[in-house]
This record gives sequence, structure tokens and C-alpha cells, in this order.
Amino acid sequence: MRICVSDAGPLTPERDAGSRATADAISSLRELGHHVVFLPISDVVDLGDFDLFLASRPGPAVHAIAAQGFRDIPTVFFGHDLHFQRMVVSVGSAKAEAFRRMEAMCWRAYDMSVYPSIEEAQYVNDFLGIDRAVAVPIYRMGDSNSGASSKSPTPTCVFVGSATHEPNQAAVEMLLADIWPAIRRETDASLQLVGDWEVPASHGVELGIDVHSNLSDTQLNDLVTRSWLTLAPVPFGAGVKRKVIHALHCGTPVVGTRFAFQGVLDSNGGAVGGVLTDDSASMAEVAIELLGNPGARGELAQTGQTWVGRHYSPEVVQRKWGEVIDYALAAFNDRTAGRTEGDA
Amino acid sequence: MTLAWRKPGVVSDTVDGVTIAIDLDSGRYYQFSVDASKVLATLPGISDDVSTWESGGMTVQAFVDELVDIGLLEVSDVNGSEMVPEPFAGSGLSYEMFTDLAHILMLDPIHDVDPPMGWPHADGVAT
Repeated sequence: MRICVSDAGPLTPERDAGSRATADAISSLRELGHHVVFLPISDVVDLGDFDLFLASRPGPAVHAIAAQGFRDIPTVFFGHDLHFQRMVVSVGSAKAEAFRRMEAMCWRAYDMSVYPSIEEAQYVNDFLGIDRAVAVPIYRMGDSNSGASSKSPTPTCVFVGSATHEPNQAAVEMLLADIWPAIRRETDASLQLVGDWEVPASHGVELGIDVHSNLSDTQLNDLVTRSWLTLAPVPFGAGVKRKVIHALHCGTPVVGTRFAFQGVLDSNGGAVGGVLTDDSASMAEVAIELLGNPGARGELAQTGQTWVGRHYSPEVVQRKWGEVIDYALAAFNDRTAGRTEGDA
Repeated sequence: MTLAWRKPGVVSDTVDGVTIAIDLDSGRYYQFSVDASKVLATLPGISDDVSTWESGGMTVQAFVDELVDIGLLEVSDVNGSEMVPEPFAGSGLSYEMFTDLAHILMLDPIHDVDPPMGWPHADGVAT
């Protein structure tokens, strides 16, 4: 099958989790035997040469609706997360509501929508009144594993996140203002801050903070694997966080908020492979306790790795994308059958 | 009146009874009032009989003329059967326009953030 995948511009998987997720989807589709062509949305004018179209993120998805041939092939909208839920915090309810309607336009225009969590897919299905959205584990864990790394001999915590992502900015602000100083008062742990973060040199020395601006996949795997804990004080946001899935994959327990653990909960609503707490003081207390308890860390690490292996292995991700294609074809057939009957 | 959304530059839909339209060339996002949405639901064949209908002090004719002027609607050669909108509720024939969504529409709203200002910027809304 000839599949066109489109996003806003060239993918930058080394810079942002969204691009990484789209690149992972392309890898899975190719492994399934499809011929995949990636086009920036500005180049999507005529879809006549393709058998299926997949739009990544809402902006490109809206633009593609106007492309020639859009209605003539099966289409998939890869939403990444419900943006409007996150926008309420950053831009207020009026614009968030406008954006919700725009996302709804995509749910209605595309044959299938894909989201990383069951809750998000269910929201869309409830809105549409028909099952046209599915949850897909959008991050492939296991393509590059640093399994040989061992834990650092000294207590080490890590935060991973793009400095251009607003929830990460708020998380680091909380981390540096309250959480990390509290942890440092009780431990001699170091904090590895991954991303283009600016920390005053004196602050870094005093609080044991190292900033890593640009890391390769191997370096990042190694750093997270060697860390004792991942801290994720994400105060708002939406969708499954790659930083959390990756930490669990590396055997590093996560101490994070409910936003950090979205889609990473067990059947009882408990955090998988970590501890969920929304309060800064409590987060520091939990981290201090875990840094002093290797047994508890080991149990959480094992639980997390097992869970990620079950849900985010390349095989599982590939199978899920295969199901998405099947669902899209079936929905397209329903749509065009209806159109034919309607035209007759 | 045989009018339609301008093609290929405008995409539209009606969500929860509210019509939205996005001008892909300018990036402007339009969100219409309930009565305006009722008029737009009759595209492409708005009955001439309703051109003098009024809501909030504006006639249907003046309203669609404005949408043609701003490039959302165009005269269509599609033969649509002439339809009459549902009775107006008195919400006026109006719309909200968001100009700052152009940035969001073209770029990745998750990650393309201007660090000093955050994303999206809070300015740029007009009605």
C-alpha cells in the first residue's frame, strides 16, 4: 500500500517527542510492508497517487482536508494528544474551545483518529457516537537499548524535556524552586537536566545540577539508565509522556504528577513503575525516601520495565499500527458505500 | 443565491451547532453565531426568499455579502436546491475571528514555543 504521511515540516526526532512518535509510526508502517512517503504539509496538494493518507497533528490535518483526492482514499488523523485540554491552561477557555472544534473537525473528516491513551480515544468516540478513534502506543521502546549500562554509584536524578515545551518549562520552574532544593537538603544527589535549560552556574554547583543540551539516543539512554530516579513534576498537559515511558524502559522509577502518568496507570488507577504525587513537598519527600531505599526502587523498576515491554515493544507498536490501517480501510469502505448509496 | 465555501482555500464544519471555517491562506479561524450557522447550513442553495431575514440588525443578504467580501464564500456553479434556514434565535448574524491561530495551524503546537513568550501567545483575538 502506498501511504503518504505528512507533518508540519521536516521531522526532528532528536528534538521533540512528537516528531519521534511520527518517525516511529513510519518505521512501523514500513516494517508492515507499506511504501511510505513523507511530505511536509505544504507539499500535500494532490493525494491521487496514494492509497492511504496519515496526517500528524491538528494543523497539518486541517490543511490536508482541502487537498485534492482527500475524500477518495482512507485517511488517518494522528492527534498526538487532545490539544484543547492543555490549551485551557495556556490560552484560556475561549481559544481552547475554538481549538476543540477544530480538532473535532479532524475527527469528523478523517476515517480514523489515533491517540496515545485509551481515555483520549474514548473521548473522541463518545463525541462522535461511533468508534472511529483508537489508542496506539506511539513510542517504540527497544529499537536502541542501552541495557549494558548500570546504575550510577552515587544518587542521581534526571529530568528530560524540551525547553521549548510549555509544560516542561513549568515543571523545571517547580523543580528548581522547591523540589530539588528540598531533596538536596537531605541527600547529596545530583540532578541531570536534559534539554536547553539555563541554570546559573553558581546555582548548578551549589545544587549539584548538570545540564545536557544535546545528547544522542545512546547518550540519553545511558544517562537515564544510570539515574536512580526520574523526576517529572509536570503541572499540566495532555497525552502520554515519552520521558516517562523511556524512564520505565530504562529501569528508572518515576516520581511524577498525574499529568506525567497520564496513560501509565494500572487497573486500580495507580502509577506504574513509580509514585504519583501532585504536591511539590510530597514529591521531594517521596524522592528522598526512594533514594534511600534500593529495594523499593528495584521493585518499581522491574514493574515498569515489564509493563513497557508488554505495551511499547516494537512488535506491539507495529501490530497496533497494522490494526489502525485495517480500521481505516473498514471505515473508508463504510463511508464510500454510504456515498454510493446516497448518490444512487 | 448559489454560494459555497471558497475552494480550495477554506475548510469548514459544524460542531455542536456552531459552524467554524478556516481560511487556509490567511490562517484565520472563524466561529459563527448560532443564527449565522443556520444560514451557512443551507449552503450552497440559500433561498432568495430569506435574503431580507434579519437577526441582530443584519440581514442575511448583508451577512453573506460580507463573507464573500472577506473571501470565505464564493459564487458557486453547483446546483443546490434552495433551502430555508431554521428560524432564527436572535443571536445575530456574526462571527468571532481568531488571527493568532495561523501560527498554530502551520506549526507544531506542542513544541514550537517562543521561550520568552510561551505558546500560544495570548494576543491576537479579534471579533
